[in-house]
Parts: sequence; C-alpha cells; structure tokens
Amino acid sequence: MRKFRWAFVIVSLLLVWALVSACAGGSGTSTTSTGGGSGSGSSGNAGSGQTTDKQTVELRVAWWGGQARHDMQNSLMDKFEELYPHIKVKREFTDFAGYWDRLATQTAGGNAPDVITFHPTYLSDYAKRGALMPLDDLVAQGKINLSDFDQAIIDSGKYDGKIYMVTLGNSIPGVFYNKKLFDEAGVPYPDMDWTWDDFMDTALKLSEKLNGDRWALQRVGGFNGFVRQRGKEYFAADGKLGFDKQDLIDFFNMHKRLLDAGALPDANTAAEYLHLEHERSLFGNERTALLFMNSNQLPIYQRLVEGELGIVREPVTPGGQTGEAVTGAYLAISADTKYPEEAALLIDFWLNHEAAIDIFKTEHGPLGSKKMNEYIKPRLEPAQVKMIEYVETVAQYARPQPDRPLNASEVEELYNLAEQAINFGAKSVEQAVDDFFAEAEKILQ
Amino acid sequence: MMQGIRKFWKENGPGYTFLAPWFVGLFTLTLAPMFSSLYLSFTNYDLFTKPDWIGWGNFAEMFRDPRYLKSLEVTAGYVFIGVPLQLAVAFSLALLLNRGIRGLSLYRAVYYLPSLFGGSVAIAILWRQVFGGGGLVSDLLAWFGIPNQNWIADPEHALLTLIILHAWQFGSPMVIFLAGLKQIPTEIYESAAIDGAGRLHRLFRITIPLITPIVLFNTIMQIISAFQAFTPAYIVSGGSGGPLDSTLFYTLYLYKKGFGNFQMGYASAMAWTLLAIIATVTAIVFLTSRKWVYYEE
Repeated sequence: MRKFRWAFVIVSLLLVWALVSACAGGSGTSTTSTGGGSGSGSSGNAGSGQTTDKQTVELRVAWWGGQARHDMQNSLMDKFEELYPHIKVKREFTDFAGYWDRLATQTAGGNAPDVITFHPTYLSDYAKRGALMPLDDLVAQGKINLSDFDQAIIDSGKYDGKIYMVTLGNSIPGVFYNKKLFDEAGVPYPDMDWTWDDFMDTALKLSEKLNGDRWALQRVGGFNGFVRQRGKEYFAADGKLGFDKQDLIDFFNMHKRLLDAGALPDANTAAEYLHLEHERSLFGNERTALLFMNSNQLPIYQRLVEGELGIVREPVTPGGQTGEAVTGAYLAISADTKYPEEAALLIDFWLNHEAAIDIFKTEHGPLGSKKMNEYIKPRLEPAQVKMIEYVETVAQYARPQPDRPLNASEVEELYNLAEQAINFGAKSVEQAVDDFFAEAEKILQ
Repeated sequence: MMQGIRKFWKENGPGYTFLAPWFVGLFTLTLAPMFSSLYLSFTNYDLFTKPDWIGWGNFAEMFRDPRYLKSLEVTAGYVFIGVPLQLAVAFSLALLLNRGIRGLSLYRAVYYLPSLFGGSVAIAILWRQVFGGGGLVSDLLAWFGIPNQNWIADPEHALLTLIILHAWQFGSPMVIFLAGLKQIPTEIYESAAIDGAGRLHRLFRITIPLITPIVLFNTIMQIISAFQAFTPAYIVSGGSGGPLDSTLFYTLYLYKKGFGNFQMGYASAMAWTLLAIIATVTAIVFLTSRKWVYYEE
C-alpha cells in the first residue's frame, strides 16, 4: 500500500487539475448551452456590457468564400488589429456549403463566432431560434452607424421587426454572358430585358456551335424569379410552398428541352460540377457561355476568364410582374457573444471606415453606406463598375419577399435532387415534380 | 458494512485511482452524451431551443421518409458487398504472405499502409481524383475501349467506387489472418501431404476450417465499422451524398439531418436505430456461426 501512496497523490492532483481546467474552459459557454438559446431578453445586456479596454480581447469572426476573398479579408482584419491593438481577431473561414454545417455545430455547442457573416437564406433558422443578437440597441446608440443607409436596405436585414444583420453589400440575381463564346458561336448578345423565349433561342443557338465539352450553360437558374413573375412566391407568407405543380413542370420542361438538345451538360458532368464555384466551375473555365448568378460575383468571374463578361436581367415573362429580389451578404452578432461592444466596433469599421473599404471594395455588391459608395467608385475595376451599374438599373424592379420558413434550405436541396433525377432520366418531369411536392410539403408542415 | 467498504478499498483502491481519469472520460465524454442523445431521440430538438417531447414520433417518421430508406439501402449495399470483398482480399494476401518469402515484414508493412490512412480525408480526396472525370481509372479503362467517364458522378457506379475504397483497406484483417495462419500447426499439413492431399485440398480441408474463428472475428469487427462509415462518402460526394443520393450513407444522412437541417431529435433517433441494426446483424452472425465456425478442442 505504501508504495502506492505517491502515485495516489500524483494521480489525484492530475485529476483535480483536469477537472478545474475543464470547468474553467466551460464556464464561458455553459450559460448558453443550458438556457441561453431561449433568447428571452438577452438583448438588453448589449448596451450595458462592461467595457474591457486596455485588456486584450479575442474576437472571433467567420466568413465564407474562395481563396481570393480569404486573402482580401485577412488583410482587412490585419488592418483592424493595427487600428485597434487591444483586439485580436481570430478568423474562421471556409467555402459556402461547409460554412453552414460548421456554424450550426458551433452555435449548438454555445461556441458560435462573435461576428458572423450571414446570408438571408438562413436568417429565419437562426433569428427565430434566438441564436443572433438583435442589433437595434447598438444601432440606436450609434455604435453601428447606419445613418448613410437607405431604410429599405436596413429593413432587408430585419426579421420579425428587429434588425438582426446589416448589409455588407447588396446583390440582385442576373445572368452573366461571356462575349468571347458568343462571338465564336455567332450569336447576338442578350438584351437587358430578354424573355424566357429569347433565352431558350439563345441557349439552343449557342449549343449548335459549342459542343464537345462546352455547353450553353450549366443549369437553368432563376426559378424564384420565374414564379414571382407569375404573381406567386417560392415560399408564401404562411410558410408553405407558394407555387403550383404546373409552375415547376413548366420550368423543368424548359430544362429538359435544353438537356435533350445538348445545351446543358450531360447528367454526370452536371453532378460533378453542381457545387463547384469560381475557379473550379464550368463558367469560370469558359466551358459555358451563360451563368445564372448573383450580380456581386461578376468581378470574381471576370478575373477568371479571358472573354469580357456582360450581365443582363434574369429572363422576364411578357405581361408578368417583376421577379427581382434583393439579396446579399450581411454581418450578424452571435447572441452568446461576450464582447458585443468590440463586435459592434468591428462591424462599424467594416461598413463605414475608408481604410476598410479601400481593401474590401464592393466584394458583395454595392455597399449599404451611400457615402462609402461614392468614396470607392473611382477606385474600382471595370467589372465592379459594371456590376454596380447593373444593380442601380435593376433595383427599381426589386420587390420584397416574405420571411423564409424554417427548413427552407432543405427544400432547396430537394429541388436540386429533382433536377438531378431528370438529368439522369431516373424520373419524368411530372414524377420528379410530384415527389418534390410530397417531400417539401412534409418538411414545411 | 463499513468494514466491507474499507476492505474493498484497501484491495482495489489504488486500481480504481489509476482508472479514475478514464472513468472521468467514460462518464463525461461517452455515457452522458449517449444518454442525452437517447432522451433527445424522443424529442423534437432543433439545436438552439428546448427539446419538445414527442414520444415515438421520430421513429415512426423514419419509415415514411424515402431518403432514410434510401440511405439504409445504400449502407446495406456498402456493408454486405464491401465487407466480404475486403475480407476475401485480406485472406488471399495473407495466404500469399504466409509462404516464408524473404522480406516478409516489409511486405506486411507495405500492405498494411492503406489501412492506416484509408479512412482519412486525404485518401478520400485522392479517390475523387482517381475515379473522377479524366482521372487515372478513366484513362486506364479508355485503353480497353471503355469510354472516358466520371465514375463518381454516375449514380450507377458511385457506390461501387466507395466499396472498392473499403476493400482496399484490407490491412488490419490481413494482419489478423496472418497471425491466425501462423497458429496452424505445421504437423497437420505434413501428415496431410504424406497422405497425398494436394494444395487445394489442404487449403479447403485444413486452412479454411481452422481459420474460421478468425473469419468470424474479422467479419464482426468489419461489419460494425462499415455501418458507421462516413468520411469517404462525405468527401467523395462533396458532402451531398450524391449523385442522386447514391452515396447517401446512413451516417451522412444523419449528419445532414442533425447539423444541416437542425433536426437533432430525428438524428438521435437515427443513431439509436443504427445501434439496434448493428446489434441485430451482429447477433445474427453470431447465431449462424455455430454452423460454420470450427473450434479445435
């Protein structure tokens, strides 16, 4: 027994140390995992939060993007650290698809980043569940200065009447076209207000010349705008699907016609490239001539391709309503943050500081601050100017959309699956649409 | 009573003290999460707000969920084709290496290598390149007149590439087979040879019957781990389980439900169902083993 005594003491000490350090590590986040999620009145502490100056604060910031954006935003954070030496910015970045899995995991563990780049697609999933901090107090105190922002732009970051996110730049979906490929195929460039019939003609004509491993486009986008042109919504205000089976059948029939004509890539290629963006995409390698995409990405693609890119509206329905809606990237603050003041400081810097805008420019589209837009305009490359002009032209057509229901992103995954089933010939258009409706209605109950 | 405890402590105290760090891990990192997930499986839980008790709802829902049934089908294909294939490869190579060739330990190490990193992200990425469009496999097959195609983006073949990846990780069952082969006394072979038994005869009448306990062990271990495979499908399909859900492994769908769609209650129910499925399959293998496993008495 005696010879065990020393071992006993050592092991006990180790244990106590392990327990203590585990508790210390946990104390910061434990409040969130037990009840913080309920979101009851946790917003009040934003204003009264104790200042922590002099002491170094570690602020965690998350964003999605490709390599070019990671490099740019890293230097943006370096600049911020240089100006505010008491704050150290810990950066977490990944591609768009992986970003949301990671954020959900972190948030559930009470371990979300303090400042989160956000997207309207997921706003309801997070805001409704109390995972984000309402920013109204910080805005009212001027800690996040939105005085140069249009009210409509501020409202686009609201959920249930409260501001949960502020815009980094706004974007309106459009169609990019590669002039080099159009010239090669001898097809006239599309008009700003082209119709779905014009679009079909253009794509079919392109496919006569672009064959082998090149196609007119990868997939027909713009279904959201398509149903809005028919006076409907993708997701209605009651949280159910806002369109009818016939709408989706009509849309997929266009897809099927282009597929059969060889204007779209074969099923295997489409599956391979479904989630690949930018430098890995078909359009980014000049293997397709058209791309349905958010306008803010025009400069990103222009840097990748040789041919000059143009941008036009998504095809319109003659006599129909306008389909455009404003989207974009936003900044939000986690409801669990310990440093709301510093988080607000970073956001305000990002939105309103010339030193930040010099680096950030118009990465996510025209900026929210009108003053910063005027400041940056003379410093932009041509594709960025073209993108801003597009948004300014098309903004008049944009109409607000209802809040998205919970699990909206799962419904969009079903949409991709239906399209894939048609591509592989596993289902007829009607069958794919029936199955989509059956599953989507179950998810949206 | 006190006396008993004191006596027990005197005899076992140091042992339990040494075990204490492990107990802390067992309770906080294994048992606590397990039982909370058991509780969550009977609730509607979206990760952020409080779970709602819904009884057996999640379990009932599973059998009405076509993607769940699809994931079962995919996983069953992976396990029931992949595991026998892997064991056949492992056994053949073990036989080959058991012939007293020179540099045996080198070969053993080399053949074991794939298992060391077979489950890793890097290999899954490599696999995507090898079987992808314009990859090594497509180019090789093109010489034989099979048109160049992307095997991973084709729903007919995507699962097959993952099964091959699984079979390629034959290292650990191979090492166990090899150890088993070394246990077979050489006298048996010698006397069989004297009686005129040929090579095939010796294989089927001596080697295979005597190695069946090892086959049983390997089968069970590999079935259990194959049911839980996640990384290859996640990486090769880019997290989607595609194309057309053809690589939607059970655990991948579970992950997507839990973390992608915020249905952690449903995901927990799936996890416990998987446990029940694995237990059932293992029990069946054990029960049938009486018929085919030969223990030398």
